[in-house]
Amino acid sequence: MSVWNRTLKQLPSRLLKLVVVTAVALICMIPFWYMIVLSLAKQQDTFTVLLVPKSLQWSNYIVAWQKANFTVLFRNSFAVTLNALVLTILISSLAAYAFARLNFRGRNLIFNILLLGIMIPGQTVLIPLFLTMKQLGLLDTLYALILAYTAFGMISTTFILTSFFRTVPQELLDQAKIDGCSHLNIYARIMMPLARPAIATVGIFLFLGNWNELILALTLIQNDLRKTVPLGLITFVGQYKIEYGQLAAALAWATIPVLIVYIALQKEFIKGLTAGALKY
Amino acid sequence: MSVNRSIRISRRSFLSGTLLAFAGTALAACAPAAQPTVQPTAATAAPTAAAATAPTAAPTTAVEPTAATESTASAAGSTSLSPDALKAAKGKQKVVWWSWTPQKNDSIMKVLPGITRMYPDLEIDLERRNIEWGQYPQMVKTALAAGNAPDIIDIYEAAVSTMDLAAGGQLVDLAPYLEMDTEWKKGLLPSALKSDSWNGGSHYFTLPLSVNNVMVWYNKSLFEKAGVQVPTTLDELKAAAKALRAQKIQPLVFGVSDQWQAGDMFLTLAAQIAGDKLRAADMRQAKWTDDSLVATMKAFKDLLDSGILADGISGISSTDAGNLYMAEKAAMMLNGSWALSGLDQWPAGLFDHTGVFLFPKVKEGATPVAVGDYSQNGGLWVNSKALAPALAMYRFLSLDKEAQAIWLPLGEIPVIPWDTSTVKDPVMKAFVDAQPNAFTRMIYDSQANAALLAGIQGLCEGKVTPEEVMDTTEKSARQGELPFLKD
Amino acid sequence: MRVSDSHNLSSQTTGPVQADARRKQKYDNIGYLFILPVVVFFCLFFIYPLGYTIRLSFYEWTGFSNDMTFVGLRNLHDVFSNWVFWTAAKNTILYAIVQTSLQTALGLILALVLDSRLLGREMFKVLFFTPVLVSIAVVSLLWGRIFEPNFGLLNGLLTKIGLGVLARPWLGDSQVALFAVISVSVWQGFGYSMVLFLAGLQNVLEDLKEAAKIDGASDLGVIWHITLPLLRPVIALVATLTLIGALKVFEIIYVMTSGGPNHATETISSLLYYEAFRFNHMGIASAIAVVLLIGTMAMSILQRRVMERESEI
Repeated sequence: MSVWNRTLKQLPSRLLKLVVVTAVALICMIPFWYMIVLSLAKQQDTFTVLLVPKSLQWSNYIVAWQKANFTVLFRNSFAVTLNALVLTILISSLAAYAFARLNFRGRNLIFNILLLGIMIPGQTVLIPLFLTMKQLGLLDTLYALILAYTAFGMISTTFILTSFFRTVPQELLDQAKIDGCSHLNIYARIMMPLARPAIATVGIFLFLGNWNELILALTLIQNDLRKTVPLGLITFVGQYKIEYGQLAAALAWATIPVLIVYIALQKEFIKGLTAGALKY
Repeated sequence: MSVNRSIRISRRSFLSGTLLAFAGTALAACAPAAQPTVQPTAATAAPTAAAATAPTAAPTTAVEPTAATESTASAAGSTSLSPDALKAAKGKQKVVWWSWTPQKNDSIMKVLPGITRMYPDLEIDLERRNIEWGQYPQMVKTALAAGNAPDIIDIYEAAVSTMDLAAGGQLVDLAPYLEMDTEWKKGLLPSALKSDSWNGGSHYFTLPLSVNNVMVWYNKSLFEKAGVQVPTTLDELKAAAKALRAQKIQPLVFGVSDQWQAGDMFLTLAAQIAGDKLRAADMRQAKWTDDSLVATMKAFKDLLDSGILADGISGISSTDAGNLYMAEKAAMMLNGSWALSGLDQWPAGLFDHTGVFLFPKVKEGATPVAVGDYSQNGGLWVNSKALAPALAMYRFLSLDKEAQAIWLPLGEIPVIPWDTSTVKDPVMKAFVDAQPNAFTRMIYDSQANAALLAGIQGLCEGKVTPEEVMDTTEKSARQGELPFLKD
Repeated sequence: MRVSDSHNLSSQTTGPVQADARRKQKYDNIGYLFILPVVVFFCLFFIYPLGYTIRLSFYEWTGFSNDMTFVGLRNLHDVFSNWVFWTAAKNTILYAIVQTSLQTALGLILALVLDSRLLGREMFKVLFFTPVLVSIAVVSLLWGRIFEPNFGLLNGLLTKIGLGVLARPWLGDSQVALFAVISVSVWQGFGYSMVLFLAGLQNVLEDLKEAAKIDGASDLGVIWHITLPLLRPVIALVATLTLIGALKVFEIIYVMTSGGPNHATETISSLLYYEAFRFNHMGIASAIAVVLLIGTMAMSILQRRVMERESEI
């Protein structure tokens, strides 16, 4: 079959694919477009506007920023997200190395028990968690969130990193041991550098999860000055009369940082996934 | 790809996991379960109080000793609370106050420095935190559980129940204090004070700062357009609804999806149809399945069936309802006087052709009344470190003339005697005139309330019958003795 | 989040000789030190709270009073005899099954489509993942507004294109509400499943596919006979993860519908929350939590078993 004929034959299916994909893409994007249109609308227009902007009231963004106090919100969210992320990766990678390449009694058992942790829903542990934080004197501090997020993120991170570390050839490690490296050295000098794509992957997952988390923040944080972005959004809704234009602008503000991070790290992310983070 | 390498939770690790969980349970058993409060005997005193006041109680201890036990139980709270103790509070004192009413913040903050009129050496550093209504109950309760609660907790029975909090020993019983502070007691309007009294005035867990009520707001222009007069009977309301619908206008709208306004509607009807039976059922002295209450729910259904209520009302929230009215798509909305505080958000000119009226007569011989009661109602946390300053602040806001003057512009009504002739705006005047006869706007049994409101949602969808709603309400209502009885 | 397998690394089977060899095997006890931080966190944030919840399920407690009354199994009895619980259970299972199926299927289909030659492939990948990035708070608020019966986007658009008869109170109609919430959840999550499938698809060797094509197989045939079977473990994994997440669903319900109307969107998790924070029934809430936990474990083990059996190649 000639190339031309083949292409022609594929045209209907290619077209179909394109149509399907475009339709889905539209459904994905329209809500965001709606959000932007709403965020630029004047108060009275918010009741009638659909997909065509009726006004371009950029001031909504300024008012929303100030009312919701995004400066504080972003600062807190960044602090919590990044610190938890680093801490999670640190302790998870240490554990992952042990699970993947070290041999000690009870290793498999402990590993399997950690797995059960995924099934525990957040609300189950809300009150005890709250009381624990209180006993530690950490209530209403960002530390509480950092520790909590670390705990809830470490399980899946440990698993991803464990399975990744298992793909590192044993010969490399044997060579290092012969060369006299301690386990800590192996971990720091061999495993971690190799794991960069996997770490990028878990980094994105953790960033997303931590940045967008709501219920724990809701429970553990009471002070206005320590709110994270999602919490600030929810309280913004109740704080003032709902002016939909400003609310939409606030939603837009909340979304921008994750978008930026994603676009920046996107390549790393895909690389990490394909490089065997999900190897079976 | 070998598929055996999938997650297999081996029996061993599962058993170990379970064992670990039980180990955790044992560990947890060692840790202090609840935070010790200052009133270790309050909780146990409560059932005794209930036994003393419930009509069918078995051998009762005399009311006096029980009350005394309660007072000593709250001794830590109240002996430190006396008019002298309040006067002794000096300097800059921090007070934390939680609420869900952001629109009141500015006014309160503005008038607060005037506290020196009442307490010359006192300056209050107030943190009045507003938590979104949906999260408010949870925030309060986790704070209480952690021993981290604010000094003043705003109460709304459906979500943060006075009875629950008081029985749990979390609120200071202010009755002993009020005995000593006759000036405050006498200074409040009797109707305002009554709204906070329990067991015939032997307990006060909250004190009022303002009151308000709920009536029907209507758009005069839309009425004119449809040729409709203010209805005074149910039949007139039905006719009005028909006429409005002919003009493609929704008649009456209020929020059902977020429940509380639907509750107001039910109470408005109950005021006329069930009267005292409502409170009796609430206090478990009657059943929710009582004929008069079922009749009330039937009346609600009648509103639905006769087209008085807006289309799709089951999906409309209170915000949507307000928006519908403001967009002039609905001619009437059931709302409270507090809506007056948000007039700057209204489209220009709408308020000029807005009026209010009492919900029409739905039953022969009944007198239409508004539903309303306390609006600003706060309780004092038992473990507060700032008991005296907090109560001093509250007393100031409650009794001081200037402090009480902030409420009218906010669409609420003062709790001290005041000159009603100063109200010029006809809408506010209507609310003020309706206040003395207003039917209490609260259902104090939070479980019954929740079932009732959820049932109304189902009713609005046509999924359940009035009888079923009242049945479910009765089943969900509190069982056993109530710790306190509302008058 | 994803989970990997837990095979025993010591591939020897049991037996006297091997057991001996194992005993003589050198243990890297420094491993305990490596796993110590994770274990400490696990105990503090999972074991202890879980134990606390289990214990609490046998008591009656308001959460703030000093009174904790032991009631034994009465909480469980109250839970199981409450019609709201069964409604919530039904909703939870329905939600879990429908949401997981839709999200997995959609993610899979789109991954397959995007795995082939297509115009603007990379751009579409980015686009589809965007909803995943957004906080549940944003999603719920935004879609709450879209579903709003009088001013929202959906009804507005339907009316504009002449399908006004379909307009309804999406979140206020108990027949539709749950599915409305499900669709929002799928909207947010399918990009995530898709990305996982895309990664899995990378491992399906191109040679196999090319060979099949040369032998005359159509595109769809290749997919059906080669790609999908090879993808089975990934599908199983994604489905399990999605299912566990769906069974726990809470935030989206809480923000969008509060479990209404009349419990039509009430799930076990939301019921748990309201029992704890609206009615101060900490004991009952804990009992529900235990039920949820057991149910989740059972469901996911069951699902794994089913997928395992089916994919025995």
